[in-house]
Amino acid sequence: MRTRCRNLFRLVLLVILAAAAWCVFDHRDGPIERYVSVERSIKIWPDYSGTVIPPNIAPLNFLIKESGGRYCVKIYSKDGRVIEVFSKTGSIIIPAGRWHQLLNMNRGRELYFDIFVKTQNSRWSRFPTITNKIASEDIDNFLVYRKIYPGHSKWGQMGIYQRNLETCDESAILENRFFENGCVNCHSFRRNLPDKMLIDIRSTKYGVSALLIESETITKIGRKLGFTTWHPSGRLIVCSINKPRLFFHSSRSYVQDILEVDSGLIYYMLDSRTMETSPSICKKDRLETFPEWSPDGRWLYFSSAPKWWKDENEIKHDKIMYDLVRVSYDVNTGQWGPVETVLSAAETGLSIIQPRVSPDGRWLLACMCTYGTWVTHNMTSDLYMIDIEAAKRTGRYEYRRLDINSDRSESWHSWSSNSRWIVFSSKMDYDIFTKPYFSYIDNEGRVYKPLLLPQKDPRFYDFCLDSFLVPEFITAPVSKTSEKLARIVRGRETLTVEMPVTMATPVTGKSFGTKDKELWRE
Amino acid sequence: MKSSHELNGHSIRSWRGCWSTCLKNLAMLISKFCRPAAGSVFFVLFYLYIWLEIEPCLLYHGGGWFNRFPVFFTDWWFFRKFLSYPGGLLEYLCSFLSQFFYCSWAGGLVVTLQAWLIYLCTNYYIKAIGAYRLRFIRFIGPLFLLAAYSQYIYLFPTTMAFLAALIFSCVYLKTTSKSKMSGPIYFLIFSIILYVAAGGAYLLFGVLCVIYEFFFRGRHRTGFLYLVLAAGIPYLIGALIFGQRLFDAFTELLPVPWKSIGYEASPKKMIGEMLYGLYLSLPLIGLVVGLWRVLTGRGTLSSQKAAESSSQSSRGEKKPNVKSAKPDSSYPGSAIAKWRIGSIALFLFTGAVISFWHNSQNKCLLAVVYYDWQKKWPQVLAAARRYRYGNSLTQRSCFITHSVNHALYHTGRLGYEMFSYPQHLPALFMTIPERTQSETILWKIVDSHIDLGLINVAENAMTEAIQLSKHPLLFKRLALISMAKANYGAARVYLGALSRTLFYSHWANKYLDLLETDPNRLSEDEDIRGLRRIMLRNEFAYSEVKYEKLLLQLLAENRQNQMAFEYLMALYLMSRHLDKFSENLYRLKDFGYTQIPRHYEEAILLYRAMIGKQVVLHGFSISADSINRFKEFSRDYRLYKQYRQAVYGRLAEKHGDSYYFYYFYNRSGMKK
Repeated sequence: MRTRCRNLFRLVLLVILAAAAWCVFDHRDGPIERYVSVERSIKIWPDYSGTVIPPNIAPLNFLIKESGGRYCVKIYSKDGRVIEVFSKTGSIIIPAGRWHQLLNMNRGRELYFDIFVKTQNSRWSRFPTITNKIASEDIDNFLVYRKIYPGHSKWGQMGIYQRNLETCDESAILENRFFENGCVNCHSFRRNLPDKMLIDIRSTKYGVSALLIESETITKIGRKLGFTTWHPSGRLIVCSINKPRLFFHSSRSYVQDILEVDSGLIYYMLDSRTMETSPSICKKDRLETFPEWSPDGRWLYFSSAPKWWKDENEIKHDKIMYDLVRVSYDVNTGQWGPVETVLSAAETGLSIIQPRVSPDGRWLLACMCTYGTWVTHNMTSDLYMIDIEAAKRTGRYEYRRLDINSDRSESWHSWSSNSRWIVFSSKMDYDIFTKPYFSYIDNEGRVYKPLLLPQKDPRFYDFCLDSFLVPEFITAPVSKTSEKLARIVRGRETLTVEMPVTMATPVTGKSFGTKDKELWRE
Repeated sequence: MKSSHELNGHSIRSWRGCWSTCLKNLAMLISKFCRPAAGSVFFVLFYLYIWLEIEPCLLYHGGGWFNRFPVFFTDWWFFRKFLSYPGGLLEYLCSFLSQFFYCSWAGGLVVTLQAWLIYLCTNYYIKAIGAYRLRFIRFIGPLFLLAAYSQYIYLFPTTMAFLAALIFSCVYLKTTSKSKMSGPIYFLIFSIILYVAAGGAYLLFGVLCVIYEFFFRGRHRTGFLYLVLAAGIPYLIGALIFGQRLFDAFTELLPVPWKSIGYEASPKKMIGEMLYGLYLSLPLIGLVVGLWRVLTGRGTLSSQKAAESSSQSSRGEKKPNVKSAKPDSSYPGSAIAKWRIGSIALFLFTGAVISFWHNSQNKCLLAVVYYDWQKKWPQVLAAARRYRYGNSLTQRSCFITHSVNHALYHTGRLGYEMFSYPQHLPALFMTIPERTQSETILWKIVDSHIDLGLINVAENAMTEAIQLSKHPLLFKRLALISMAKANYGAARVYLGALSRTLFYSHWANKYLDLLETDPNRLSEDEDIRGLRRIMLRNEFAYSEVKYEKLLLQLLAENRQNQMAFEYLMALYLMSRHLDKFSENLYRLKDFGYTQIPRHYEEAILLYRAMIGKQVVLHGFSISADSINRFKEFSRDYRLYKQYRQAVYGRLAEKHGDSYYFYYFYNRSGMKK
């Protein structure tokens, strides 16, 4: 027995030594001194070149798409040690510790990638250096998104996940497998903070509900809240009620599409646990959706379209155009002001959807597309920027299309807490599969080339069948576990709220905000 | 001197002795070779049955009928998902092994190996508890698999979980047979490994070990300890460490209806109940045998062995052969008879299982699906002919009819033979009420719609179907469609996923290389060129598919789209729109017809008779055969008009494959 153990031990030792030797000799590449310079720029994927990168982002691992037998990348900046990465496959996996050290030491400076490829004739070729700039400002540490395979009538596994942007770690906030494959969708946070959060749930077994997370308290509200926005004070949440209808395109690249037959805005008061609405945000003759508070909480921006049809069968999807409007709100008195048009579809010729105001209140970013509201499915959807500060001075909301747009859909954008980074969903590289991209925005509102969310395996997106929807920045992770949230979903305890409207029509005898009763009658 | 009588008597006795020795030797030989040989014969026949009769490839390609037939990708990301919950590792293994169902012979090997291991482990446990007379139980597992596969029910993960629990139980019994102290340590280690690997199936292992320790080793405290551990480990590892909900922590991979049996919506002929029986069989036997030993005062196996060895040592006897403890007969004739009876009973019982559970309807259906995917049209028609259509319209009959029409088109027989098969209008495009709900139908319409040129309808169906089953067959078609539509980004994703499968990577890599080097060269690819040639280009929005409009649009864009034409004519025939049918006869010239197809002729003659005027034939003529058949039908129909029900059978027999019969009776495929 002892002899057998000893032999086994020897064998294990031998294997370990052999493996160590293989590692040493296989990666024995010394410094590359002799090489041939190549003039043309190198093909890498994802394209992490010529842009601004966050100083706290996870290693930007990439794939060199050049044929060769051996690859080497040297990453360096003004200070710090050069990072050398060798690869046989072209897959460049950057060591995380040294990467973060390098980026941290060189905030605001250039970051260089020297790329060498050893060709079949055993000679190294050097391609032109890739230069990126390291931003001075951090990106928020966490990104929350929903992952789902594109589709509508059916779904399999899906969930809401949080991704640590400093590493490649992803964890589930809530997966639908915990409540028998129901649907989990729209999530929102108050001011990039994870302590207050909303998640919508649809389940054949457990019903339709919304999970309201307030620090340690989780409440299951007995109805769906749609697209939501938290008032900065945390005292109310404005949400949309929507009546979507699915339709199809006969030959367009994206088959499915959705139009809103009816919609309106309502709000949930957290202290009184009641739902209310105001005629300013829920008109019979208009479709209101995608609410967004200004950071000071005085204005509610939203998209609003005229409801010109009498019969739902008359609706022509490409004739529904949304204006960008806003209403004032006094959180102390609960008084809503009249609707003001910020930018009309008539002026832009495009439907204006999903307004998002930067936390510093300077910029408003919105999608514009040829019709309707369902921008993810509309390949014409692009991101446009409005300078709110300039509009205060000039009285005119100037808008401009951002250079980062592609000929595919850009949508679901969100601001980082320091207003320097945006994240958005785009189909620019993978058509029907929406992926998250970041862009840096400088003081002047210039937006820099987008970066695809880095992954440990640079080939990841080439076989990833999930769409990443509604990416939202948060500054710290959500601490609730999937099972904890799912237990609430499965539980019987539900907060029943009475709806002040049935779709965009007020319910007889139901209260609007007290101050708005008269306004509605007008 | 011995008398001859004595000699004779002696020789007779010696002959008898010889004969008896021979028989004994023969019995030994039989017991040594034939018993295992019977098992071997059983498993050889088992394999041949699964391979040649069941054809596991039908399960693999049974698109839509087995929505959760597992997919397997070779990448780390796919593997990582399975690490996030107890039982994931076994599911991963099952996903891998299930891929071998792609080829019937390989799938058969996998199933046979599984059955054989269940047999061996059951046998080991039965022997371990000393229940030699119940050894026939070892065939229960394989026979259950035979029944389940005969029904075309996919229960691979659950039965593999059962097998994993059995293997661990046997290993536990083997490793702890000598040492008393190491038992709990081994149990704990095995429990953790098995629970992480096989989830709730671990409970079976726990129960078997508890029963063994309690009744057969007489270690009551150990038994109680195991009982506590068996209940605690799923909670500790599953609920607390993996964050599973408590119910899932205890039931992952167990035959809980909405989880495992969900592979087939409603398992027939008590397969579900039998699966519970399979799981409960060994614990119940252990319990019964254990209780019997207690009640009959036989004590535990260990005490029995100890008593035997002490009595032997006191008598100074040699340690007996362990095999002698078996209740084997010393009478050769009896051994042979028992073996014969046992073998015959086994094979009779196996035959009974097969004949009772074999579902030829399911086989026909899956064969139609399989050959449809493979584009083996004559085989589709042959399989459909074996299907027994009921009197009512069902999803299954629509399913078969849809494939039949597809195959008839591709063999150039749609206009000639479509009414030789049972036809239902909803089957033509699968426009049945469950269309948007049923994954089966979503799968079904894919290929026919791609062939028609209705790419977006097919893509939408696949996009929905793939939510529940990420099957390579769907990826392959989605990749082709994406490339045809120049959605190269999406195509890269589908191809990337396919390149990580076991059997489609070569195909995918070919296209990935093309996309990487020069996507323009895709237009040289025959499949993509074909798709681009027929695909609908005009853009319009719709909330409900209107086939007439779509087919007319397809023909407006491409006059050479023969399938669109033939399906349009079939639609008019089946909906009895003979006016529209006649208006479109001019298109026959676009497709090089030399004569009007038989059913078209029948419709023309019928329409002409009904409206009382000529139909423009655009240079074609009606064949004399058709005119004669029409005359014959008219005569029969007129003659027996007033006795319609009475002569229905006769009309069906003579004209059951004609459009006339379909037109008046809404039935077809009646001619024998």
